[in-house]
Amino acid sequence: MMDIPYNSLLVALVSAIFGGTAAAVGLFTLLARRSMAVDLITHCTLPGMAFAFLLLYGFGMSERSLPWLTVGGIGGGMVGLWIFSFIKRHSRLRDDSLLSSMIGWSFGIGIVLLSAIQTLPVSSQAGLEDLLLGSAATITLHDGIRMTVLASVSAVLLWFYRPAFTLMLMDPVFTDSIGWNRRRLEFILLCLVLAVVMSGLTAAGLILVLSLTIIPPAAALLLHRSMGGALVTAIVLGALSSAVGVGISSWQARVPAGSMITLTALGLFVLAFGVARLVSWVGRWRASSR
Amino acid sequence: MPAPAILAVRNLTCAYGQQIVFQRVTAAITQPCLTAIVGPNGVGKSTLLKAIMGLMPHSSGSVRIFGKGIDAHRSRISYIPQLQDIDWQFPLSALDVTLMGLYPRIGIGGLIRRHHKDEAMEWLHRVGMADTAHQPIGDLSGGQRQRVLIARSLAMQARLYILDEPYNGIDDASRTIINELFQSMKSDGVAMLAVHHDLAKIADFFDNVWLMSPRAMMCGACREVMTPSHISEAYGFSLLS
Repeated sequence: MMDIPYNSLLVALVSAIFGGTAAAVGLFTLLARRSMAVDLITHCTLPGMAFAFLLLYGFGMSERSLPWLTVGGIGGGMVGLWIFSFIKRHSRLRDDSLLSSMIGWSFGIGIVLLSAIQTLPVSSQAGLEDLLLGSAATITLHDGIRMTVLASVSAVLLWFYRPAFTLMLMDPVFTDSIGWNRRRLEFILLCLVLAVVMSGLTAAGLILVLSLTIIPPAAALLLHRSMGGALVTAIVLGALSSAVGVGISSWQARVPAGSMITLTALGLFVLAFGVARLVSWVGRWRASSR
Repeated sequence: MPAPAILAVRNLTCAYGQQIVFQRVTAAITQPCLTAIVGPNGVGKSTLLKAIMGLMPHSSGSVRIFGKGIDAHRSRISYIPQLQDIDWQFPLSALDVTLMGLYPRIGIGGLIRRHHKDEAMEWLHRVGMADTAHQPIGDLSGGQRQRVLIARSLAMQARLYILDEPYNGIDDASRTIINELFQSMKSDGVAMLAVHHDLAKIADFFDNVWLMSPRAMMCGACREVMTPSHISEAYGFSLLS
């Protein structure tokens, strides 16, 4: 029997918690048709974190301080969304054009800042590029605790606000009419997205963390037409994609974890698509043979 | 002292920025009845509904519901939006949507319990939709969707219903069923105010009408207000022979 190291099991477990939460939050952003906004957030965290690194360096502090880098990432995401809202309010650009442009800009700015960081006379920038594509090998105990805490708090909040989010996304005017503050609910959902992105930073990487918020919920929606069923399936598929992806990455250390997570999620999506088609075909066949 | 009107709109003016939508509108609903708001496109019918619901700030005037501001009686008013304002591809069943009418009572974060589901089923039964309770909303017809929204509103146990084009996009059979439902709700002491477009059928469905025109608002019983002269004054040309 293959002997799985204790550390790998722990990393897989933490990744599963993160993956399940990311997929659950992703189901709501997918239903809100805001997956591209999540893409913008993930891309804006890169310049945010790079900027935080440079600030820490400028103030002579430890540049690899994860709490400060996390704050930088969250700040980057929020600034990106604010710029998006500002331009949208003052222009006639369509959402998709503006979001696509901003994703390009933010990634470009992030890469330029990362290149600038590489030229600094410090050693702490080593491995910073792992944040782009993720790396199971770099997950430390601190990362594990951070991922678990952020993902667990997000999961509890999501459970708490689940009916309110569903109502807000399905029927915004009715939500307003019963006096529920839609802006506050949207802000909370945004915070959950940011928390999930930041919790999966080390494992999935900035670029591919997005895939966990889209692919598993999309697969779940292929299989279910009820919110409860879609939510549970998205959580299971997200947890499985994340745990298996990180597991393969730690076994084959040269493969970035983010890529493996995405490929695993893709495999599960294809499987779900096949099952959904089969169920549909069997349903039609049974209906026609009656 | 007489009981306050169910709904009293006095000298209400609404504007989008500098663009005035309507001004100095005055109207009231004093007893349980079905009232239609009609008028040409762009006259501000939907804006008036939103202003009554407190969803749009008004420049001047007042809206009183049972003698008080909207926030004091929000739980006694229920809003039914246009069918196209709702995402019907959401993975929800008719029962899930009806349950949403109980959300104000359950509160944000409150647990949905068995008795809530039983109550929602009762409201679905009232609108004749109990058999389709577990069907995805995407599979329902226009008329069935409207009845599910009515069940959701009934679950709120409101006294005043605000409806945005409830007969739009549904077939004649469903219109008849919904009209019967509204009549039975009226006999339970409920008042309804709805935006409506089909002038030919207005007297079949409603007791009173608010006829909005760019210059004035005429209110009263359908047969008194919907005269050819009033209609041509509101719409700019005669619509009825």
